[in-house]
Amino acid sequence: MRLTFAVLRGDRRGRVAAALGAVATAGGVLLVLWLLTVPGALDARESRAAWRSAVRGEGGGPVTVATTRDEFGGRSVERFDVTSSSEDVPVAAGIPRRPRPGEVLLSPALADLVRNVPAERLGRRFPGEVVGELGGPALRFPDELVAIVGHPVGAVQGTARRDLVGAPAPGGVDGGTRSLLTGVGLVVLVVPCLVLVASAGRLTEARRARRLAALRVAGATPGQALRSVAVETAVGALPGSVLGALLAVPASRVAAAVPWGGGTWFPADFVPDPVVAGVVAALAAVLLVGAAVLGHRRELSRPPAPPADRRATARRLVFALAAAGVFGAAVVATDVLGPRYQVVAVSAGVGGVVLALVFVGPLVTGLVGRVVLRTRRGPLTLLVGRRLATRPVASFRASAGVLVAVFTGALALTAVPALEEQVRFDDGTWRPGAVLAHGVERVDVVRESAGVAVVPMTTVLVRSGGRSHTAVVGRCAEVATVLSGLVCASGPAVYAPYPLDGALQVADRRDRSTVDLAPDVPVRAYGGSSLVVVDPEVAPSPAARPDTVAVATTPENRDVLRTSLARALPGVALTDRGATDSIGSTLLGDVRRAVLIGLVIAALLGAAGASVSAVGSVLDRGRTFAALVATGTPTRLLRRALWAEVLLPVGAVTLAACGAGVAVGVGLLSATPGLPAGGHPLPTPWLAAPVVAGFAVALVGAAAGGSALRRVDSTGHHGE
Amino acid sequence: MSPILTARGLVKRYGEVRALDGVDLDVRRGEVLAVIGPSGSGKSSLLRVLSGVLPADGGEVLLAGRSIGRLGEAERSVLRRTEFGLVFQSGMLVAELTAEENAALPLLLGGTRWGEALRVAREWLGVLGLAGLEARRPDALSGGQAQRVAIARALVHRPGVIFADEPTAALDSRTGHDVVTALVGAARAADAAVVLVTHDHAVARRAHRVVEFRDGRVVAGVRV
Repeated sequence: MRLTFAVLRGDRRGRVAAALGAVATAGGVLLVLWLLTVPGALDARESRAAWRSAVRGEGGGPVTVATTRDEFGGRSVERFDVTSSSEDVPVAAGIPRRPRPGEVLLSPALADLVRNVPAERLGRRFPGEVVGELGGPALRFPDELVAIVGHPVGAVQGTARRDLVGAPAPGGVDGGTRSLLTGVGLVVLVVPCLVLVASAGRLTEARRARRLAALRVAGATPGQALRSVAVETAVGALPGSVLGALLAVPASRVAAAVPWGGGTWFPADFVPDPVVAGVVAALAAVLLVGAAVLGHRRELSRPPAPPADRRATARRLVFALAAAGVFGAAVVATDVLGPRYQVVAVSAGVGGVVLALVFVGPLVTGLVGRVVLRTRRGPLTLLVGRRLATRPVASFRASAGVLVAVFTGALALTAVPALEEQVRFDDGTWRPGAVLAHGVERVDVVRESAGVAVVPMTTVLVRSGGRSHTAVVGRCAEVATVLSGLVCASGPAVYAPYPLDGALQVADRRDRSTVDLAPDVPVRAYGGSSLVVVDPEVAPSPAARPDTVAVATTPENRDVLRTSLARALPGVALTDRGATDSIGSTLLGDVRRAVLIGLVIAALLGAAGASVSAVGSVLDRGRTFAALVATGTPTRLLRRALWAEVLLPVGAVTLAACGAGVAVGVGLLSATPGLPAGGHPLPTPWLAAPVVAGFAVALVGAAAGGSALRRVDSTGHHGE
Repeated sequence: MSPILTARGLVKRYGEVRALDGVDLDVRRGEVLAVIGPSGSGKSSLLRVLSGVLPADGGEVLLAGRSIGRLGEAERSVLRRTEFGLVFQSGMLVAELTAEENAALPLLLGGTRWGEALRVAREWLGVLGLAGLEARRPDALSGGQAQRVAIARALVHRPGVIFADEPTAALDSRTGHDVVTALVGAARAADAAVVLVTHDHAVARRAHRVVEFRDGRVVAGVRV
């Protein structure tokens, strides 16, 4: 131990390497901990919102809850209209008490809005006195807009429940696509982390190999040499690991500021479990030490000798094929095991591909080197070719992070456009300002209490030619004020956006009654919508009991009219194009933000890994570069050689990584729950972006190596 | 005098090449034995097999009558810091350690207390004319000085046999002469045998005995 510290004391670059190793390990631990907290954070959100849903099999109770989603200023408002026949209703943590009739509980963010916005635009939607605020334990995120409004018994139609406690869904409520994305994200971001940490652990590999050989000559046993490598690496790894684990707590505030699902997070959501943090920190240190020890296994296990060239062996191809086999097995497992194990199977499959690429990389690098050597056009190709051909593993190390970043980018850009296609936006059936309320019992009451001009309609089915079409029964002139593209003609008629064949029949879904329309009823075509419109004179009986109302609004009076409707229709959901689009925009924003964060992290990790490896290769070859400078080799030529050493392997592997990313992206889409038919990959020119970004990241690494090269002089002292 | 080191029928192959082809050799206590021969004749392989750095493919090496052929890698390492001392052409010093720390390595690796190991190392550095340079690192020493640090490292644990592989090849003749003088003198002080591989006949003439090596065989033995 003391000997190792004596070595470090005399080794400035060893100390630099240890410091870089510490920083890389801290960053890696921090990132891994953050990624590991994501599923838990999602679950924590849903656990806090568990009171909003009835427990499966609850079987009714004294509480009636009508859940609706409202919207204000582009933000979603979750509203719970509650009645109770019992005074003693258990409530979840964060809910002060069950609001009595005429009482309202608001989340702090909503209460703040209500205080600062004119009441007719928002506050009057929640009739009654605000008697308290919901606490954090009852909210998904700090700035969530939630209201619980108390009503007299019978005033609200909704779900009968025993209490307002609920229970988290087993296995996490937020499963499916998000879990899959999280799993894949873990794999594609953890691997560059590992590459960076391992690169840091082997930063001055050649120099350490020389030292080990000298120690072995002096009589160090393999065990002593191994301990010396382990202690030397642990000097950087242990503080780095501990630092990373400690930084996870303050860093949770940064992670909590990233919007997701319409809001930010509570920092506690991203604070890792101390045991998990400890295990990750310990594993990171073990990985760093293990990478360093494995990197010197030849010096440790064989008789002392000068360090030999490390060539890529055919064994790597076997490992690569095995890793690719993991991907194949994962594809089969996804089908065989079903959705329960889908996340694990897909994550393992992606991991298999990444590992296969990492194993193949040095083989490709060595091949590139041999091809370059064959050209032998001058000193540059000789220098570059020799390095790539004789040290393919070390040469590839600078490209490993880049490769994973390109793979991640290609995968994301293949999958995300298709996922975006699945995001639901308003289909344009209704006019932009139209606000609709379905399931309305008494339209006349709405008209009176809301004091606005409403368009009454009845939602029915129109059957023709053996097919059913969704339709509304309503006065054409009125419906045209809220329905897109509808142009009315004189006289009662049926308006359809597509041809209707044969006899027409109107079916009321509430009581399953039907009305056969007269054969001479005119069917007029109109464009711009998917809804059939039936004039009341054509089907008088459904028209007599409207169940839907619509209001035409303008941007100026939209909030006011929505407030009037919400007050008049407690427990009834109001929909409009803005609200629907806001849900789609939130989801789309989440996906894009997650992809962007993932790509930025992958690129940063790739650049850091490439820089560390390129600088390490210069540090390790100080003597070689010094000898070349001493023999008259221009530094410019060495710099060009260094750039070529980094860029040539990158050029070879990025295309392969891009292809693999596209292939896995296609596979991922087919495995993603809820994308049975629509999840087809969309070809996009943006697929070239990861390749370009990969080269940019490699350039950063090459520039870092070039900067280190500037400090080498012909004596070799500086370099050494 | 009975030999401290005995080689019987040593064979070492590198693929199809037989670097050692049935070598028999005795090294007596306190003796300086020079092994000369052209490049590629197997001199360095002989030295590495004799010192246990490389395992033999045939035959055996006996140290004071005990075979070292069956020793494991760890036991051979222990041998290098107890019974043997090694000096190579390149010195193979640890660049990050000072001269005295380098010289003290066999003792430090053997568990001697730090202060005691450095004290002994300083004594040997003094014997080899390096007093005052103990705190310098290898890159601040001349080639001859670095080689003498390597000799100190080979002697510090008072081994029975010192193996030196072309220790003067990278030095000018004057410095080479000084280094060999220091090596032989220090070995005599430690009562250690020296097996000196060289292609320099001037260096070989400093030995008690010279064996000529060619194509993996001893072709002549001359007592000087």
